[in-house]
Amino acid sequence: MPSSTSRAEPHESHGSDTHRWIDLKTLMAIQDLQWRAKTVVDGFQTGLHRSPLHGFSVEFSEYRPFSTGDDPRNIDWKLYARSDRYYIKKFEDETNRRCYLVVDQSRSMNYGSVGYSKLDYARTLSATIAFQLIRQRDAVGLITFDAVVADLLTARYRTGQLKRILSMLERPSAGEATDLVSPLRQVSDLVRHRSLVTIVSDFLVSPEELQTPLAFLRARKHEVVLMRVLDPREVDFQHPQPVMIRDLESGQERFVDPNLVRESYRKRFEEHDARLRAIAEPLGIAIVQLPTDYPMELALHEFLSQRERGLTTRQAVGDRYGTGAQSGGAVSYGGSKK
Amino acid sequence: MNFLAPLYALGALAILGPIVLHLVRKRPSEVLDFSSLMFLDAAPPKLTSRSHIEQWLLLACRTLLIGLIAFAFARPYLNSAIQQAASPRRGVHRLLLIDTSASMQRPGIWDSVGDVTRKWIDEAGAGDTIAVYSFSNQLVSHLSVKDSLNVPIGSRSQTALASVEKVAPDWGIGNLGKALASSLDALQIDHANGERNEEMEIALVTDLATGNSLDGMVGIEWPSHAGLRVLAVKPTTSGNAYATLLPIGQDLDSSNAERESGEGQVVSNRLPTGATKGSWRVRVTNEAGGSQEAFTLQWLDAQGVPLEGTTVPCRVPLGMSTVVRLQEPPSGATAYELFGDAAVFDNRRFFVPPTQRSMSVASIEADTVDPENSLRFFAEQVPLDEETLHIDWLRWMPGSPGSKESMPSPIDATKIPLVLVGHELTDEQVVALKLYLTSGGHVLDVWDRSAEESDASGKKWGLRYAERVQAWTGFDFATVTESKIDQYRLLASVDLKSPLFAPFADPKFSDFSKIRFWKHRHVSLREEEPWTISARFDSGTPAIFSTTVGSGTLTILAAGWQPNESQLALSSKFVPMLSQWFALARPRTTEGVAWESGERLEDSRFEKLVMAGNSIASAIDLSPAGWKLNVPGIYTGTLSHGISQSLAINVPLAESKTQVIDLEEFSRLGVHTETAVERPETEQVLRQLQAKELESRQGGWWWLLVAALAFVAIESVLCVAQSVIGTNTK
Repeated sequence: MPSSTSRAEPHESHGSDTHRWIDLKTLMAIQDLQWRAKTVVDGFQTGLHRSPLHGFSVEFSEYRPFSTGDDPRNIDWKLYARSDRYYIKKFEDETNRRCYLVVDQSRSMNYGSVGYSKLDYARTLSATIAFQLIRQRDAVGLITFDAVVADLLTARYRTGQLKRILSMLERPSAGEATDLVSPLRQVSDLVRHRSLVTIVSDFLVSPEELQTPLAFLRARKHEVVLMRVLDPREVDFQHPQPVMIRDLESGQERFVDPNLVRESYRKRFEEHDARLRAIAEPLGIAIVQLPTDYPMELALHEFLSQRERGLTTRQAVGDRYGTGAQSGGAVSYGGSKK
Repeated sequence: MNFLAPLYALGALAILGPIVLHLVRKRPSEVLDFSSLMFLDAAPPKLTSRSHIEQWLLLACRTLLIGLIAFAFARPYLNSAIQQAASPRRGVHRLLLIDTSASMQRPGIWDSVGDVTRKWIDEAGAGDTIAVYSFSNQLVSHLSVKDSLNVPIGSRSQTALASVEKVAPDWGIGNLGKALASSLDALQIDHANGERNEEMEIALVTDLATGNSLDGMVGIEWPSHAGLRVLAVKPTTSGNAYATLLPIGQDLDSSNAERESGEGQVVSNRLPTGATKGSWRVRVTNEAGGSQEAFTLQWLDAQGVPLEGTTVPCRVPLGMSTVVRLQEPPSGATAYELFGDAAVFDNRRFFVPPTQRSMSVASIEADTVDPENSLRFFAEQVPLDEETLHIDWLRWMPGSPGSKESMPSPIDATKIPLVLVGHELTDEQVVALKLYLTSGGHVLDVWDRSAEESDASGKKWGLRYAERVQAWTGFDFATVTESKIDQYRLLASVDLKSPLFAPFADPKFSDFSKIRFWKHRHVSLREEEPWTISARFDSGTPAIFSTTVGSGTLTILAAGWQPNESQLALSSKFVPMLSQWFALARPRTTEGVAWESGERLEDSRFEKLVMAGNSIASAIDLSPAGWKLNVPGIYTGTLSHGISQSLAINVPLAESKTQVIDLEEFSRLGVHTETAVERPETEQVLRQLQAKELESRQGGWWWLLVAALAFVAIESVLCVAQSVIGTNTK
């Protein structure tokens, strides 16, 4: 599977030096979602000192003297205690930064062959991103959906927001079929301010159906990142023997001999992926493909990278994704073992 | 190789089952949930090509297992072995045993016998031997197995049929058990040099009357290769009634009320042929199963014509018996008959009216002052009279010729069978007694006077005893001396087997230790002289000894029985001893004995015997074992001593009991009644039987099943192994 050259390093390091990353099975064994997120973020930030990824997550810009008219809530009281002067702590672009995490909870997300499901991975990833963003004082919102939008939490930065997000994520899903069109339309209706819309899903729907809702989101000036969570088996279809396969969503059963259908499966999967990219990239939408055995820290890194890229090169998305599409580079396949 | 049941081999087609199942890919039982089927094509289960058969070893095990089972069920056997085992077929040894006892005289039975035997003989194979035997009292061979073997194979049936036609029912008693045992012996003895396990079949043609005794079968082990087929024949009549004369002497008053069930009655086989005046009673028994209950009894004359005015009606319910009192038989009556019973073979019963006789016993003894010390004082008190015999005692005096009490000469031994002699005897009397002894008389010489004492002429009694014995017997007899006794002597060495002491043979009566002898004479008998010593004194001296003189018998008692000599006369043994002496002396007659037809008169002394009235040629058989009278009727004979006597021969009472024997009785005795030998109809059937026997001997199917079980075990092990491997792979 092709991989972006700029993202090759974490992928290679994941493949050759897995002990550096938190074991996902151990991570998933932690019941509390906040603890999972905290573990990942703490580990991620600890690793920053040794990693070349330094500086991406630091949103702090400068201190400036307090002047009349400033909101006294922004005074850094700790600095005042040390210097006996009022300083306003300035953060880069923190005031209008909103991020909506749109998490797919349909039944297809319940599949997992590595000891936990895609939904577990998606929830942990969402919690980690939320934890990181809230720690950076960004406003974070959450939308969960299956066939329709199930829960909506408006993006805010306030006390208890993380807890609300986590409790929503921990809520058991009653999701059925995957229908991205309707939720994305609802998201575009509900989110009026320009935001970073991060859609965490397996995107196992017809890509053509996504074109319109994604275009709507982009028309509303939202930044959109598609975090595609896939089980490794969904990518390589490695089953040892003939098996009866049941569709988690429709319940339909089909007897397949993996040896006979593997090639055609991969071919179709790649076609589907190519079509998805062909729709997303012209719209300036980044796709991050995350196999569920991909280290969570690297996944967070991918997200932050995409966000950084979105902030700095917002106007040049056409070129970036256009070249990326040709080389397959904008879409990260980090962690794919194939 | 051949198969006994080749159609079972078609079961081997079941091999296709596992082959097809191995070709079909098993639909996986495990269902795997997957996120989406949008990239998958359906791949339904399908028959793969032959090259895709998996688990060849397992398939081989399963096909072999099914093939072996089908092969085993087809019962294979080696064809070559059957040719070795095949040998010329030996025929079955068949024996036809026909009951000819009196009950077979019932109407309709003998006609059925002909049909049944003919049918059975027709069933016989060409190689079979057919022996023909009949039985009543004893087994009679008409065509032995050996004789049948000598007959050419094609004509054995005809020979047997010809033999059967000679068989006719007689009037004897059926001894079925003994006949079966004897015929079995006949079959086995005739084949002692052949194969012991040759098939045998005995066909018993009988009416199965309960009168047939099966006692002879007890203790006989019936061989497994012998079968008994019972060919029962039935009379055209049903039930049977019979009348038996009751023993004399029973209470007449109670007889009218006497009525017993047929099964409960106990009637002796030995019945008197006559009865005294006023005691003519007959028990009429009506067996269950009949239809007649009203009968009449009537006397018949010698020609069998009913005598007018003697009819006695009676009514006997079925299964019951009644005692009927008859009128005194008129003169000339020789039988009585029960009228009204359809089975007439046993309705007429003959009898001989008793005749009164008289005999005498003489004693030669001088009168004594004290009568208690005489021999005749005790002897004459012994009751020797019998029912039809009157005994007179004659007193003869020694040495008084011409007087009333003198001994006649010659003495008629037929009228005076026993002469009792005391110590004193004249020389003339000794000579006369010698003649008497020679003519068949019996002399009991009692030495009741001490041998040391002398007579009037001064001659010792001992010498006189010796002289007269020597005169009678001619033996060189030694002098008789007086034995010296301190206190008393007892009788010892009593020969209980001798005729004199035979009545004392029972241990209850054989105690002679209470008879004490105060005095006795001593004599030494030479061994070369034919003396029979019946008893000795405890000193070893002969006490009672005898010898034959001409036709008569001389018995000597070496002591007196008077109280001054011994306690013999006062003991309980005296009367039986004297009665026995008389019984041994008197002429034997068969009077008072009821004879049955077919019975042998082993004991009789008839010199001549004829059947009264219509004489039947086969009625009388004379053999060294004695006379045998085969037909019921009145017979007149002459005894050896000239006495004329009549005999009544009747149908055996047991033959009148015509209830049918339960066939279970044969099974109880171990007889295989259901093993009638099936005849192979054709050579093909015979070959099939041989193949069957050969196959069962080889037992190949058993080994095939063992091999199949082994493959089951291997298949199980393989399955378990693959299951374990599969689990580990997952």
